[in-house]
Amino acid sequence: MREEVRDGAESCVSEKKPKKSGPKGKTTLWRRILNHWELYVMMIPVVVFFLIFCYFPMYGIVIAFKEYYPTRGILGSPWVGTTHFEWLFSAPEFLRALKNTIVISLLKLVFCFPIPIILSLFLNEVTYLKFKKAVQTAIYLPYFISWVIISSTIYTLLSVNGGVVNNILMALGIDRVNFLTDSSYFYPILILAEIWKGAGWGTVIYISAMSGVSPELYEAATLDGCGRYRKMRYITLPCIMPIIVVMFILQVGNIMNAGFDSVFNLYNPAIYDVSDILDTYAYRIGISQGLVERGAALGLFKTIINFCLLLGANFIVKKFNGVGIYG
Amino acid sequence: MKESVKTKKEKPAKQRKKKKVTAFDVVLIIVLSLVAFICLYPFLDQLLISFATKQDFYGSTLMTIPKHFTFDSYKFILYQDRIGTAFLVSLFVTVVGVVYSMALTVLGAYVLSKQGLPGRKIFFVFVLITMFFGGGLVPFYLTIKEIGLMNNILSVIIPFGINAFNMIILRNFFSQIPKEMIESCKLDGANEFTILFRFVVPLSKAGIATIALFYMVERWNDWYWPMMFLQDAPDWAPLALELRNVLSSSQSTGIGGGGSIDPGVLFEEGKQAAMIVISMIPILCVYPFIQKYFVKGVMIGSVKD
Repeated sequence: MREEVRDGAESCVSEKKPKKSGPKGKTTLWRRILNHWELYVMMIPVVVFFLIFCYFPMYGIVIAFKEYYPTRGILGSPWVGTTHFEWLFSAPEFLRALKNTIVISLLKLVFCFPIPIILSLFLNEVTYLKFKKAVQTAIYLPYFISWVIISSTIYTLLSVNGGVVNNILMALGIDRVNFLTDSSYFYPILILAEIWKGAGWGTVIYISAMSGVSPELYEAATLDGCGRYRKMRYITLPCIMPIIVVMFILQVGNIMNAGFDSVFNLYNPAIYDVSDILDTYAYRIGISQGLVERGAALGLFKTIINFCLLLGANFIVKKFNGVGIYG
Repeated sequence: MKESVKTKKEKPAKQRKKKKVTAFDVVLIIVLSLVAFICLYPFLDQLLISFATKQDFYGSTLMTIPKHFTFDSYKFILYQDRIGTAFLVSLFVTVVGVVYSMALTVLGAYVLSKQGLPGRKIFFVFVLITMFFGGGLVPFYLTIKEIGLMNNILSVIIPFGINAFNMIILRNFFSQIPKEMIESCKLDGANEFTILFRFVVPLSKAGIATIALFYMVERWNDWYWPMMFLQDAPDWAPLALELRNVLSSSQSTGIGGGGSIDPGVLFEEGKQAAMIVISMIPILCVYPFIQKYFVKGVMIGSVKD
């Protein structure tokens, strides 16, 4: 009897047949697997893909503890212990990159994170559907344009002669500024660029969460005499809070990724002191200079910190709020 | 579809409502219009600059307006030897890449959507792990090297078959199809492949279109991996990489050619703008058609997760 109940809950299609077979458990499972053989065939290419391009590189991290000989490959190269990490932690560029990464990530958390939420609260209040859709179309667009183009348009906007920003400064009677070689302007430019590219698209997830809010709540609030602001504040916002929390945790778990694409396309050697991040540094030592072991060590360091941050943020939020990533 | 029907029905009610336009509405519309304008302005600026002459740009007092409308910048870019090839390479990578990615993603998503399949949970965790862990840049690079894909155009297609996040979004779409429907297909003797491609995929058009757009944009915009994997095969450089090369060699004396245009009339920003406009065209062509799907599509996908 018990066997039957368990089966019914787990199998989706064929619950009737395997009941009678004498040796229980294994045969039933085996039958069910056989019944679904086509699905396992479908799984094969996907599993192979992940094994080669995700799990093998994961194993490849061991190169951080090895001396890499291209002829011997990742598996055959000899072990050398933690020398690469020692080198890494004593390199001044590493510390600089670490500092810049944290600064940029925190700036993003403070400035880039809340904007999609505010934008989607606004969009949610728009009653003219056509207008709403038009705005959405416009603000999603930059997300689909590559950083190469984004950075180039920003260069043009900021260029000393002919750029709109400097023209406006001129019109206001302020001297023209060379924004791109002055390191004090890098963070504002980067953050504004990130907002431009990502804020619109960031609203998608919040808007979809808002569409799930029960209309009855709003109706009840209307009866209670709530205005639109109060509905926004006391219904919409609390209802999307779980999603905001999840996004926040994921963002915190990403602090070591300050955004390779944006930085790599916007920085230049003149402003490395504020703009060089772990990812760009890893690229320069690991790929450009060919010091693969050190690049891998850096990558491993990043992954470990990120994972700890993710778990830490999840733990803290769960403690205070009762909701974490896992719901 | 449903949405449009709804709005038509609601119209009379709406017209009544229209009288109650508050100050709040006005402010909202102004603010959002401004936001939308700011998002689009930089692209508009590029478009205008690409048709402008040197004097138009350097002599501008506010924004550049092409008073002396010219195609010189475009001519210069289109006369480059590599541009046509690069465009074709990008097209090839995008088309083949999207088909390949969609095939893998659809298969994986379908398996994930099968409740009660023995081993499904293990498979799910197997996929999920790839979202949070990774080897990082260098081991991935070495993997490609050791497989022998280096300097092969396939190196910018094959390793990027699946984005686990897209697969999970698609799984949510597939999960919404009523099980009874699939089971009745099975009773009619259809096998899983027939069910998937004849039935499940056509029913999830919005999801498929959304994910396909994601993959398309990813492949089309990709300059980073080609830069690394096609280092010694510059003939295979796609448009995005070519674009980056043009932009980063900002004096761009590096690129020869130029046809019969007097180099004196050309200017950096103009050439770059022309190149940018050219490389944005395919995305701008597809975006409006698919956009209507993904406004709805991504919603369904993400809410359920």
